[in-house]
Amino acid sequence: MSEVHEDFDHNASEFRADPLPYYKQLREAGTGQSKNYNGLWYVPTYAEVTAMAHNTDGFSPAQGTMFPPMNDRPMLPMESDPPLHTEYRHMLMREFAPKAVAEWAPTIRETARSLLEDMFKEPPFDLGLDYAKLLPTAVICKMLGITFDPVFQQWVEDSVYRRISHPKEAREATDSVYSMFRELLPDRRANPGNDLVSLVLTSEIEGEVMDEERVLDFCFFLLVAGLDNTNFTIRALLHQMAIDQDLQKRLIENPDDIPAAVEESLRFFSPVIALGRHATQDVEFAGCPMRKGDAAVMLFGCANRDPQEFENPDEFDIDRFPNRHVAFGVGPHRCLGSNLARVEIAIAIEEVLKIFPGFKLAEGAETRYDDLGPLIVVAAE
Amino acid sequence: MKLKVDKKLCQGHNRCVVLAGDLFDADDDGYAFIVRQPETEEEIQLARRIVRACPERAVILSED
Repeated sequence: MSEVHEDFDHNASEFRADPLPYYKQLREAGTGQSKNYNGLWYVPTYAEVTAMAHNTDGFSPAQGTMFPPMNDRPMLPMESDPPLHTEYRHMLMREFAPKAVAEWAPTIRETARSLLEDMFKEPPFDLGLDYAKLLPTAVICKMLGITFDPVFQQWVEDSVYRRISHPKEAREATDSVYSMFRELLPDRRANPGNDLVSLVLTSEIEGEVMDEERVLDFCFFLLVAGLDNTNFTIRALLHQMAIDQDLQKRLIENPDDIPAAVEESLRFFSPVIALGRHATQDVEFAGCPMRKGDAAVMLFGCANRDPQEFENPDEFDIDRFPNRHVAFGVGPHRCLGSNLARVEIAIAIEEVLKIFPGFKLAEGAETRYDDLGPLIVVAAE
Repeated sequence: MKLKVDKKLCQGHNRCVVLAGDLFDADDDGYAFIVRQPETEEEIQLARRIVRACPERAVILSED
């Protein structure tokens, strides 16, 4: 057991506030076991993270991927194994494939513009709180066929980020999301539409439609999965462009470079720092003896700064090539919403640059990480 | 020379389609397929770049 792993806790505020020194030490030591979370293994290097993500026989997400867990119900389709996982994925793949996402692009752009217009009506404004935070929520609500309400964003944040500091409030927030969907299901069942809730309600898995509780697990995760991560990445890239005016100028003059900037932001800021698996059998992984049932966490953020894979990994470089980051994971559990997230982030940036070229940080603005992060807050005193 | 996508490895990251839309496209489920083989020297260079860019190492350019 290496010393660096022994006391490591991926939720610790010292780590969240300044992860790079931890990342370096963890990578140099390779996979190792912590005393925290009943002996959680931490998987830090790019090679080890990709090996674990691809080894779906040896490592399962079905017993939970978050430590501590978000709630006692599975986040679907992520927390399931084949053959069920394959059927779940198949049900949703088409809705999140590039073609389907391209059809949503005009709606995403309209939504972005309308949020920006509303924002300008009430100065002073904050591009993070009044724009980046609301866009992914507004878009996924349209895809789910539910009426947009900013309280959803609050529920999601409470559910994810306050589950350690305020477990009771987090639990209530999770319950609120479930209740909201539970109330709308009867009507949706009677009048199915062209939305994701209807798709999950009417699709057959293992030859029959799913029971209500499983439908709700899908609804919950479809709402939760893309909100804070997409919001975070939009905010992080906006912040990067505010502090690096050369980058901003380049993206104004060459909007075709925006997708590359989005990729580099995903690598550099890695919205999902970590997700876990459980060993399905006794196994030696990266030289470590893991026992059946042991939990291991893949540190995506750490892998994305691995110098073995990325030259000058701590430099933000939109010309980086190749950029095979693992911000969305790899293997069969690759983030289902990755195409949607990429388009949302790119459009969010394009629209800001059209309406607000040359934007800067407000006087006295400070950057900090909230609670469990990865929420960057840029606040002016 | 033959450009291929290994269907067993492709997970639908869509990097190839974004970086080389003349050579790759995505099916309705989001998995990549080859639209046409690279012809010019420039396209062959591009194909070599895509081999390196795929996060699943699913794009193969056989040199024979």
